Amino acid sequence: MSGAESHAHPTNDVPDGSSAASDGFLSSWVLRATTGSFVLAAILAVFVVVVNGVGSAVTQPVLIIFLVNLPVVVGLQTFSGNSGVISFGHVAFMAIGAYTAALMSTPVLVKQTELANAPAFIRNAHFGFVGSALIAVAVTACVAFPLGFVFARLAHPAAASIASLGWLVIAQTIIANWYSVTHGTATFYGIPSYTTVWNALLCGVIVIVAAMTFRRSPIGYGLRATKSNPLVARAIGVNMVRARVAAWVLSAALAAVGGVLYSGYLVSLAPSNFFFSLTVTIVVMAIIGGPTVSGAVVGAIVISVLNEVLRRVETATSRPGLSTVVVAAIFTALMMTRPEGLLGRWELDEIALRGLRRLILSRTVRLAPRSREEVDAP
Amino acid sequence: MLAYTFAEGMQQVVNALALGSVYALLGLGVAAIFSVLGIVNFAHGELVTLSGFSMLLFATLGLPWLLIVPLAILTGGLAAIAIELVAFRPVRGAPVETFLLTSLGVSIVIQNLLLMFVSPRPEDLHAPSWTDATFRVGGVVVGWFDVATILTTFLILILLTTFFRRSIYGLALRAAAEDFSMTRMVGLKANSVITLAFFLSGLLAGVAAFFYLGTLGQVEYDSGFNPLLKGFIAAVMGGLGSLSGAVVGGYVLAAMEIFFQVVLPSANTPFEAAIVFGMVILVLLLRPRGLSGGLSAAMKLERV
Repeated sequence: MSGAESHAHPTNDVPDGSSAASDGFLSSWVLRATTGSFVLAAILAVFVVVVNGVGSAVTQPVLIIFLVNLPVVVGLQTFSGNSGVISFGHVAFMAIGAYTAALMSTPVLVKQTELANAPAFIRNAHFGFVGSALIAVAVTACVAFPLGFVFARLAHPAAASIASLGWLVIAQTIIANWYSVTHGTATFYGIPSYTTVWNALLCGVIVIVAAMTFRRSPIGYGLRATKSNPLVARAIGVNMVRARVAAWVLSAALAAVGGVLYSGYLVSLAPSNFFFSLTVTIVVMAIIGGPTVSGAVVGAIVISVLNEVLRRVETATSRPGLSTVVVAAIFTALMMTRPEGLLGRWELDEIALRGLRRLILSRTVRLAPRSREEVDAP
Repeated sequence: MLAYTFAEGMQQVVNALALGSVYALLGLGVAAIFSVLGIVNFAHGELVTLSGFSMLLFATLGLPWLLIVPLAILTGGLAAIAIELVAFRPVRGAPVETFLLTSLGVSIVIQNLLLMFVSPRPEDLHAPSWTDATFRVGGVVVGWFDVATILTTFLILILLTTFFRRSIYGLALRAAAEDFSMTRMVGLKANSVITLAFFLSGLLAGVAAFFYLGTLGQVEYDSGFNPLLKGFIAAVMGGLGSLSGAVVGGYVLAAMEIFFQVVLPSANTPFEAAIVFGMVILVLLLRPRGLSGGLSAAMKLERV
């Protein structure tokens, strides 16, 4: 963004937010949430359709894994991008979603032998994809709700980040040892293969709409205000604990969608898959693009492609760990030079709108104006 | 369940004190950085790993352990200074989250470089036999290494307190923790204060590495994860930024771990970590600013 842009919007994190209510329906937050969602969902759909069309045995798994990770990344963004508190605990919600969906959808006959000691309602449950997904999301949201208050109240963002790491360990320990329900550290098998590119894409679109709607809703603006300045936010009537808990629960629910897709794609689960290395991947994806929904989507695409390319170099040179080193080094370097992420603090539709506006202005006003004031006062 | 004899009880107290000493050293290292800069060093665990690998290196070179230990501790200190130069100095002044992410990135780079170029497997440290030696006091079997851990930690705490109270450098660090910009205004060089804080934090990680990895007997590229987690939790539970709080947090964490190991029926012992961290979260829910309620300069800034 140029200097003139930021000059026009001194409170950069909340563009046009204050005038939203008075400008009527056309500039209401609902409309802005809709356009934002539409632009981003369309980009995602085009990307998926093109990559799927190129479709080979190599790109297909990469595409599906990208779509599996996407809801978790967007979910993490919904909390971290809006509140400024980095969470290392969202993979735990992904795991809860994955295991719940697996328990609900695995055929009763398989469960009778695999989980002979599980409670009857789990053994006898048999739902389809949609039913399992809804139950998984609901269960995860219920688990997240009480936890949200801890992370909302912690005084320092770093303390909340550390506590979220503690939550990851708690979830990991419980899943790895609750043998009668999760099959413990052994692999949970027999999950029906229900994840396809198309239902994963649909989930991605739903997740984007939910995240964008939250981000541009009054409560989302309020949360972003607490990130810029907690005291000013409180002074204008934002309840930080309420906003953070709302974001936390929604973000956990979105992460659970990723878990559902994960169990339906891999058809087997092991607790160790949902620990620190996946957490790092998800955090890097969510941060590298920037603290916006667009940033999360772009970050997930960039890191997925980069990972795949590097993984091939890694196998060709037989140097395990190479891809992780390169991704982490790129990530660190980017955080140093551009802490706002690849896209900065704007959503893609905002960037497009700004570009368009500047283009029109430069056509209509021949003498290039020095400042915004000259343009706005004809 | 409560059929424990006094001797067994005492044994668990010694265990808890030894474990708590290691956690206190780790927590202190995390808190030392936080108190001065208001940031969290995610690569603190890698200091433990690097100290561990340097122990391995010096041991294979055939040095006596009397030399290995101070050299390994020094390695921790120097590695901390290097990490500050790479991960923190270039982004000085950035928001708090940026430091968390750059240090996370550096931590992962170090881990995977160790994996690629040093060893993908756990390596035996060939710790000297006296780390396993025990003695008996009235039916209580006590490990010499545990006693050494506890006494060394107490000694370090006393030395640190004296250092902070009496020496000019300690005063500088305390001043920086209180109000960093004011400290700079009265003429202290920011870089030297920060380097000193990191060096101290690295030395503490080095000492913790010796006692923690010495008990484990081996070192691995990701050996640092568990110490990092324990140091983080100790520091947060004590109230991030409070040095005495971090020590208290470390001992409380260890006491809870040992308590639940002893009290839980054997079927539930695997859940110990979950229960302990659940308790930590409960503590934080009731006291969001930690046990000590301590406020560092950084946290005060947030509230002003």
